[in-house]
Amino acid sequence: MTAIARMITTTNLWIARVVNWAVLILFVLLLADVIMRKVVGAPISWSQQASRLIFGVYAIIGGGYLLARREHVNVDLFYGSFSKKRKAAVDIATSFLFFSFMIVLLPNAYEMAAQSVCMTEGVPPWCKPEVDELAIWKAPLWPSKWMIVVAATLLLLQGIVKFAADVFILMGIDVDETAFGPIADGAEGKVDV
Amino acid sequence: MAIEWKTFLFFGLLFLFILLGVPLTFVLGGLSVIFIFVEFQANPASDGLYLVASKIWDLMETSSLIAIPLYVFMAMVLERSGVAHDLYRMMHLWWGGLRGGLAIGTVLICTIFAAMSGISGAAVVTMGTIALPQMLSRGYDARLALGAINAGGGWGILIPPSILMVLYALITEVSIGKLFAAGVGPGLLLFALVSAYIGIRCWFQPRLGPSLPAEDRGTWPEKFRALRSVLLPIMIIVMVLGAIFSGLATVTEAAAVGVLGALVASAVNRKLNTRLVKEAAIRTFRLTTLITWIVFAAHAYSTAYTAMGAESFITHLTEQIPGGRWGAMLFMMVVLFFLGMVLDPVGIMLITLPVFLPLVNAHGFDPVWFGILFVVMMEISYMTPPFGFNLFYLRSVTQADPSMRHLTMKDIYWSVGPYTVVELFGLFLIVLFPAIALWLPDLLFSGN
Amino acid sequence: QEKIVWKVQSHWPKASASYGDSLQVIADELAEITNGRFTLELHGAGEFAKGAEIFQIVKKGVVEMGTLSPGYILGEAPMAGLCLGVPGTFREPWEFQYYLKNMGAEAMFNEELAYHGVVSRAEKVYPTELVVSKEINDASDFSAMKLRSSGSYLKYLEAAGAAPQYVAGPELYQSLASGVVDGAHWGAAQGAQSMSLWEVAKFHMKPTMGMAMDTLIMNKAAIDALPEDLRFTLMMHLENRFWKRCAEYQYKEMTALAAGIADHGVKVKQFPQGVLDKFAEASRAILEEERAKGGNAAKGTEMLVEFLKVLGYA
Ligand code: NA
Ligand code: NA
Repeated sequence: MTAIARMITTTNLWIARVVNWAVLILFVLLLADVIMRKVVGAPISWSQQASRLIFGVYAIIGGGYLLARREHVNVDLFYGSFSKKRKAAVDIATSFLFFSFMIVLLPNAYEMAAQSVCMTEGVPPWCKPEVDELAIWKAPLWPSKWMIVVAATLLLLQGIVKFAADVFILMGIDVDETAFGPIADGAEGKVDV
Repeated sequence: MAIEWKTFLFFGLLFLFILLGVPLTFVLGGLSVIFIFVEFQANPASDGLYLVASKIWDLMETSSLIAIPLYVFMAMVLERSGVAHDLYRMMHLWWGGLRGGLAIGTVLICTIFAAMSGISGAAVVTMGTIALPQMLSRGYDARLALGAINAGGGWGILIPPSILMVLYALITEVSIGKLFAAGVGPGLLLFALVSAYIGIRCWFQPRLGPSLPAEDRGTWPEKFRALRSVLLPIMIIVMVLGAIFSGLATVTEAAAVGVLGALVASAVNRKLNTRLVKEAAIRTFRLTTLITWIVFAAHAYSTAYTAMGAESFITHLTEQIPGGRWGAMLFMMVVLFFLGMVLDPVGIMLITLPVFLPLVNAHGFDPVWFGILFVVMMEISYMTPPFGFNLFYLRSVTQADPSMRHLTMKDIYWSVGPYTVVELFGLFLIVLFPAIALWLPDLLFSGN
Repeated sequence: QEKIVWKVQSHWPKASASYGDSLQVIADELAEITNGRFTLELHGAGEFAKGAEIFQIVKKGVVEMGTLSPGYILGEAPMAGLCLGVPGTFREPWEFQYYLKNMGAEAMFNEELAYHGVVSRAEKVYPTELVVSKEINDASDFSAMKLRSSGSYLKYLEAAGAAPQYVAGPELYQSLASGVVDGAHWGAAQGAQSMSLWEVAKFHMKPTMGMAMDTLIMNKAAIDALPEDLRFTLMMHLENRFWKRCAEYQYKEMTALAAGIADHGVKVKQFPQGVLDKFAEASRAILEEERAKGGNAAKGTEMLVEFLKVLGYA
């Protein structure tokens, strides 16, 4: 169990470690447009779409990572003063919110993604993987849609790990935080990968 | 079930689960899924739950949101570059005698920032990152400081450019130029009122915003040397505003210019290195992820309320209002205030405007003026508990910084109380004296 | 008798003229002619979905009806490109109406949409016209311009020498005011008016660059579930509304432009011949791309080219 939890948590940490650099790409792409407009009189034809596609994935993929760090923001008005066990109990009792959210998001995102690569039944004969038809550069959109499935899966898995941790805490079993979270600041580098 | 009861249940459960400490994203997402399911259950042929996935894609395609990671990154770089520290030291040396001076300086920077960005969240995260620790370390009361950022950080949608105003204009077909111009006066009014509040409050309660003892205010040469610290921030502001007004960059692209400015500033201070960029990037990633997941869930939540029949409910309510013209105005403001506590501004706009605009027209209110009142109410909604984007952005900023982790959500919730009253007073003044909003558009567009 | 309520997701903002003049009228009149048996519950842009997602929620039956531009669904049906309108082909609204309704382009579009369980009925055709902030005297003025565009017009304007780019609607006004872009098209006169474009760009360019269409889409299963008399009433009603709306739209184009000239000092200018020649060339290239799309698009392109010959345009 701990090994599985560690694998999920570590995956999320690794993804964050790689993807967080994308902000620099966004910076360069947008700045390049500003400069090109001044120098050449026109922006780069593909940069706007590229930055939007990168942003889309960048913005959602870290959902599971944030949960591993317990950083999805909440209100600690009463929660803050709860004991560790009571927190676990409340989290378990309210986990149906998280799970109903994910259990709806995941299959619907999958359907959206499957449709974007013509994997659904009864597709017309001209169906091709989805691209951005409205711009000069016909950027592929289907990879972004699959990334929603990936992001939702990562978040769901981390949520299951969190749920398991809560159950263990309630049963009085020690949980290894490097596997189950919360992952503390600076711990990204320390966790075995 | 009648819509009254459904509304009560829908928002009641939001309150309950927020207070139980469930992360916002999961409360909003979970409740929207459950209520959408119930709503579409009657028609088995339809697949209403698809709306949830549709909303996340919608968000990924919203290009104006790209400004968020860039402005957050700018803030993270500035915080570590020493620029913020030097700036607040300078303010302290010069205005050290003025109680609450640093908080007033902070809302001034918020006002300038509002002219640099068309959205609200970026300013809150930026100022929370760079200004809050500076004020706290100089003995400022946490709630006074938090509230100042909560309030000032929201002005991005009131002072042009403003994405929300454009959305309002698209829905109502009023002139975008007039609406932009009409935001300037009220923006300055709110700045003046909030500054006055801070000044007066700290005058009577010096411990909230202590002045610097006279002997620590430095010698004149020291003061003048400290003035150099404004050069870098001014350079950044000039770069960003210059890029916007000269037509070099769109408002979103201007955020990248801001990042460039921050990198240059930290290089000038000899603080630019891989470690700084690396730390700034990972914290930016966390904050952006957090913001987008909340925004996504909040949109799903508004959609669920729409599906439940929110609009016809509000239409039904409007049929009961007594008191003619001003009764209608009061009613609309009260509805906006209460929806502002629980829904996101775009959702509120979609639900209420179609109902309110006929009222606005029927009573002969100027739609530009009403637009400003609407935007001010949305600004207040950004900071009113239990659900306000600014509150949660600030919360995540304080949690991310070890020196501010002692601040609780309770502090943040309580901090907005007086500032909400001050902004409502500002709103009241704009209602009483429409010229505050309308003099500038009247001046600029009278030729046409 | 059973009362039927359909949810309708519009791609227009509620309170916009497009919405009030079309969807609201369709709903009001439908309720009237069916004595309240059949009503439409209207939703403004974004309430459930916007843009391309409207097609998806109609297809899935989340809402029974929607409005959209065929430009959103170019990948869903090859005929969508021709039904959206190819820039530089038709010059008068009646020509496009004839192509869609009389020559059968709309029926061919519907053959393709049947794969998705969706039915389309044109709502109106409307012109697309460019508004610019600087005067265009020759082809070189034009090729120095940064223009806000979208869809097939991006290619069209680029081929004619300008530097087109996409700017999101909410940022358009500011971008045009500050000079990030020198011009834009948002429909024609009524669109420019609704987006306040004339406040910051005074030159309204003629001739019309092309005709486009807005359409109503419906879930096929929902149509089939209607009682036969209501189904018939609905379809006749939509057909009837199309013709009235097209005429009305042209009338309002005239009054909007007149108001722009009177209130904002708008100047109506003609594209120089050099630009028009490049437009014609670009238009032919886009037509060839449409032909290559598969489905009914090759047949539809052939029909269009033959018609253009009859009109003396090709
Ligand atoms: Na602003
Ligand atoms: Na609120």
